[in-house]
Amino acid sequence: MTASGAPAGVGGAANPATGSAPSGGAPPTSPSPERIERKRSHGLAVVAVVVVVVVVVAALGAAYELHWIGPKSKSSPPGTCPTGVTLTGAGASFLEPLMSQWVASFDSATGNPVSYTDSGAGAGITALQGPTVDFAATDDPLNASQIAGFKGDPLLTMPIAAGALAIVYNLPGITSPITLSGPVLAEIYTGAVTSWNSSSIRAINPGVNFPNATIITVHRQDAAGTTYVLSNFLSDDNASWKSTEGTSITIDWPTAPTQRAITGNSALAKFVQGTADTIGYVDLTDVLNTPGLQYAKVLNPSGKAILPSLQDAGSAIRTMSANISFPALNDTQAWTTISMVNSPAPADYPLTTLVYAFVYLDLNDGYQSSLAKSQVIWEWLNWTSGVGQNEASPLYYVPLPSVLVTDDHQGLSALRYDSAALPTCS
Amino acid sequence: MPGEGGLGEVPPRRESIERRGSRLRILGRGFHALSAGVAVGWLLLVALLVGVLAWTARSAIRHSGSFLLLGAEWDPNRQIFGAAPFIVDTLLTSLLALLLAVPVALGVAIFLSELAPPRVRDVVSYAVDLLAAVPSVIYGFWAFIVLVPLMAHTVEPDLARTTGGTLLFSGLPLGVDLLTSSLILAVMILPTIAALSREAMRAVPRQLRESALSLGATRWEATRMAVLGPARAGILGGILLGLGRAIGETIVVAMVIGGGRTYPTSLFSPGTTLATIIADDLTSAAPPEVSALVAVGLILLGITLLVNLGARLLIARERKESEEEELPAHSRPRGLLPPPGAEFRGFAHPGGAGEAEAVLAEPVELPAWRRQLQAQLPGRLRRRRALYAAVAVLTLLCTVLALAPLASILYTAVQNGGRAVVTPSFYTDTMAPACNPATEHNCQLGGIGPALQGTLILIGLASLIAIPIGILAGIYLAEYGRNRFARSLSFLTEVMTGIPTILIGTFVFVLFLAEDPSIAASATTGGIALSILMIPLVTRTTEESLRAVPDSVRESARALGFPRHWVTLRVTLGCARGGIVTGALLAASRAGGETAALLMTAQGFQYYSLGLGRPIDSLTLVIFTTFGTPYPNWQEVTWGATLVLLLVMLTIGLATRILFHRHTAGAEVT
Amino acid sequence: MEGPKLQVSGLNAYFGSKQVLYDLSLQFPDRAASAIIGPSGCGKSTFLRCLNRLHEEVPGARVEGSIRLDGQEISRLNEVAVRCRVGMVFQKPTPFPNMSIYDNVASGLRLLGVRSRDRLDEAVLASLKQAALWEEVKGNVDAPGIRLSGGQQQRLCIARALAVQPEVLLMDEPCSALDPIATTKIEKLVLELKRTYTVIIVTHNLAQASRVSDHTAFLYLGKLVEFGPTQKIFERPDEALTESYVRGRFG
Repeated sequence: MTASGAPAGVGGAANPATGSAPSGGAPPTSPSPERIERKRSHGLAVVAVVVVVVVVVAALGAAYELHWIGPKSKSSPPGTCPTGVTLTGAGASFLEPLMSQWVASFDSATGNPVSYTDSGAGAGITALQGPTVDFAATDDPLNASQIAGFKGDPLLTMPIAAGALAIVYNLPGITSPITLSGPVLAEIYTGAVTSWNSSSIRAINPGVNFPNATIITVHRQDAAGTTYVLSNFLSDDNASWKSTEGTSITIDWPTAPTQRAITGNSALAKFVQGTADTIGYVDLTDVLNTPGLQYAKVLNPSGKAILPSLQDAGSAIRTMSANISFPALNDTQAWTTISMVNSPAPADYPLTTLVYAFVYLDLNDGYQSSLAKSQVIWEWLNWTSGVGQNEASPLYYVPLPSVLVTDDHQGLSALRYDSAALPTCS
Repeated sequence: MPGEGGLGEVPPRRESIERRGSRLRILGRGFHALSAGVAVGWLLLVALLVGVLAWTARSAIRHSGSFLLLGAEWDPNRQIFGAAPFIVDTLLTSLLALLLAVPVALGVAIFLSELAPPRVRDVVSYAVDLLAAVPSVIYGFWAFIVLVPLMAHTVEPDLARTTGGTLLFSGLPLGVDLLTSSLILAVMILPTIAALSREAMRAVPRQLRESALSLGATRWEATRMAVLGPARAGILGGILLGLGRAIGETIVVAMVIGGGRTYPTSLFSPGTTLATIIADDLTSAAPPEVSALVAVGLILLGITLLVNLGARLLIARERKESEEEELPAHSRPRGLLPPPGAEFRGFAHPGGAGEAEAVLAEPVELPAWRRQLQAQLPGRLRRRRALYAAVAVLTLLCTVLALAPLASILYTAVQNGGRAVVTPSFYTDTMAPACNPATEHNCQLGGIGPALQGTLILIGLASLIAIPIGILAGIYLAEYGRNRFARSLSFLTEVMTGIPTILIGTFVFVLFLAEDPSIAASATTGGIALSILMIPLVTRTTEESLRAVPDSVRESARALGFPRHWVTLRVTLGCARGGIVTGALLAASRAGGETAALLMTAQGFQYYSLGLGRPIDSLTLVIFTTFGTPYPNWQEVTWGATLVLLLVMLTIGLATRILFHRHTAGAEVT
Repeated sequence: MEGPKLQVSGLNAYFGSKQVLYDLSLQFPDRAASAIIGPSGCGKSTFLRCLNRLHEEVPGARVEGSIRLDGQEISRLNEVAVRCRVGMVFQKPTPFPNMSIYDNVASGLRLLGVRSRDRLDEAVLASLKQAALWEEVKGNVDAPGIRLSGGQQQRLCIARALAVQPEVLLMDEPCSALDPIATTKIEKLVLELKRTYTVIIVTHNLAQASRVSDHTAFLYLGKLVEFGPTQKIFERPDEALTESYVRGRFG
């Protein structure tokens, strides 16, 4: 049998109806006059576009770096402060809300943006040691090893705000704030007292019906200024705490079987709020911004149980500032022992602290230093300790007492640039 | 005229072919050299990393010695560094995570490869891939906000009640403990194990399953007999990869593990792993503690190395046992065939007699019980089919369980961040001041403009560095590396995919701090750190995509006359294009979701980038630093950033699937 | 002789909307070997897979028509039950890689619920003998199945299929992946097996079909062209198309 007349083409088709088939060796007929359609692959095109976009963006960044594009730092007439200089800072997360308001106001007032990263008090100091930031902010003064990390470069230690530490807890059945004291807190955190209805606690809370529940102590897992304040307070009237745990942003916490460590101030507050029978410590600002979080009265040296508030905290700061003779701002070593806890006045809240900003005394040692930037740093520190204080209370921060404001402005004159006095601007 | 030439005359066409051939050869050899150079460079970089870390750790090792491994106290103030409880916690959480994840992952894999109808399969496997792409900071965020309360109020009390509160479940169930950490780790490693297991099962030849079915197996029995066995090597590989990831996971575990520093007494104990102690303390540590923490990082690296080594050995052994080696009939496998002479007698005539060996089948008398088997079949069959149905339901449940966290994360993110995401200014504004609605009546939402730009710049920079290096190194390993060097480098690359990323950030930061402190914290170092993270991923996926190209393709190209290196460049690379591009995209998205490596390098920045030498922000850093804040506008920004990040991952995953249809399982390695 | 073992009537098969088998009707006698021949891609394997309902593994596959095993419609039976009675051997030997020779052969029996070690031993021995593999492996039944040569693996697969005592044995080009020596052995095996079982063997090797089978069916483009005794198909076929094919003029 021979092939039927059907054209072979590519893969000869037989006519099923007739059951016949082309022979296997039929020569291909000439191709039909259609064009070969090629489908383009889209995938690579899309990827190429994305890559180009990303490269362009990166190139823009590089161009910024080389100052080919971007805001030119305008050279200002002598005497006026430079504009368009961006400062970077890092430090305590507790300060972040106030900082966020400060930078906005400072920028609109002076045209200089400031970027503050709340990486934590300890991380801020490490960053300043680099240096990879212009200033650091902490709620604790530097300790010896931190000072050593600056390898002899002197610093300016400047209080820029004040704050209070609240003891937070979660006791569902109890509606009004309980009272705690330094010794009792030390007992709780060392595990000497393990139950809420222990005699120590009941002794300072007459009439309060505590549950027979294990106290769950909560502390900060990361290095924290709040840990410093608490440990400072506990060391102040508790010799055994002072010798074993001491005062630091990182404590080797004594082992209690029901303790937990949480990373971050706000996370700790959240955890306490969500877990019954817990006790922890959070800065007052966060507490006042978290409705429903229970916080305790604390016995002050006069024996009064004080519920923390901006008034009694502010009063404590003022009292302590009047009583303490602060060291010069350029004597960082001396600030190590400055403690603002346990103010003696009867209406004062005992758990208070100063918040510090640190910069290199000789700003030439600083991060990507320049004269213009040094002047802006001066301007920034001057502003925060001056005009900026007005923004503290609305955000539940304690403003600096006037004595410290004066100290700050005087201390700023110690700033140098390249071993010469820093020419200030206005 | 072409083809027409006298004796001494080379036809022009042939001459140009020869010229072209030698040009291709030169090009090819140059390419070989380039890729080899890149591979060596990568090796040197890894050596540098380990070297720098070891150098940083040396003072702690000298000072504490074996106390690091055996001591149980960690007090930076008195320079006491004993990490033994951390080692215990690391192993405990990782192994428990494995225990929880593996059965569910296998269930998902079986569901996807054997039981699911095609459309369901596509959607579910896409969802599983998405699960793998969720950045760890989002997992941590979700775990703290959703999982911890769930554990503390529901799961753990129930567990304590049913077990009487003894042994493993003694102590107060508070939600931040080893159990929750293991659980969230299990959630995170599950998609890796599931995806790799599924690939291993899909690679089993179809006819093996059909052989089992033809024997009268139910589909579950066929899977058990014919698929799970041969797929064992790949499944094991996936499990060990998951283990490696669990061991090195930092950010998530730090948020939920509770910070206990002593040996655990139960699953409800708080703990600290090797990775979390680094995360907790490194950024604020004084030099002695830095040294100790880097030493801890080296311990972690060592454990990861051991796990990978064990994985390789196990898989190699499995592969040898189950490898289908088609031996030619005239070769002699050990001891099973008669000696050669009797075997090969030339090509016998079909149908001809002539063989004297007893190869004739023997008629056999069959016992009665064998005939009875058929009669018993219906009853047994009902039970077997019931078992199959039960298994099918179980795997479906596993799938639902596996996808539940993803659904929860998406739901929570949409609920809390949905409004921000549809506000245009959200994408361009900087962070607004913290806003307390009680005192402020002019609260602004703010936005993630700088963070978005930062993420793009960092990904772009990292990709620019990592993708070419990774592809070239992968090409070298797959195409040219038949020697010991290449095999070691391949193994090393695999280990590097599991390195805790905070160590990478530390390495880059320390290196630049010594060299040029002014850019130690910058977009540059952040990009470099991310690129070091990406290179092993891109290298592995490139290598695997190239290995998947069948040799027949290469041989056909060679038969056409192309020189060897040219074949690699044009032909093999072209075939593997889809897998390579997918791998690169997924590595880039992995970089976009990274937090720990950026903590010290990129550092974070509140404004649009001022240049590559200045610090820079990223979406992950925003989420990490702002999570838990009580201020409503910042909360919304954090959730909005979370949702944006998730949507980006979703889109990249969808895009790679649509554009490239299939991608290698290795690409999910994160 | 009783009625046909396997009776196919009006079988149409579709993959989705594409029809691949057109109205096939034929009867396979018991205890005989039937070959199915035809050019590649004509539906031989598809047809074979319909006979033990393995086509159902392909999504979108559908059959119409009737396939009766001993008079019973297999589509109404449980597919597992069907496959216990209709076994299959594939083109490429597929021993289960992680099982020994013994376990491979015993796997079908274990599925059926046989647990007793003695019974399994007995059955494995019998199957290996039936598949003409016993002499070569008798010292070593616990060795992995994949260490055997290609031809031995195929005989192992046959032994495995025989162990469950099927009535029909389907073989889909069982020798195409084997060398001539192994092929010869398999062919001899088929000649022996057809005395006990109904063997249906798909092959593209015409000489093999003529050597081994009693009946031959010629399938072309999904249609049955001719079915009859092998000698007739190869020497005096009715259809011209059949003659063209067996003479080697195409295919």
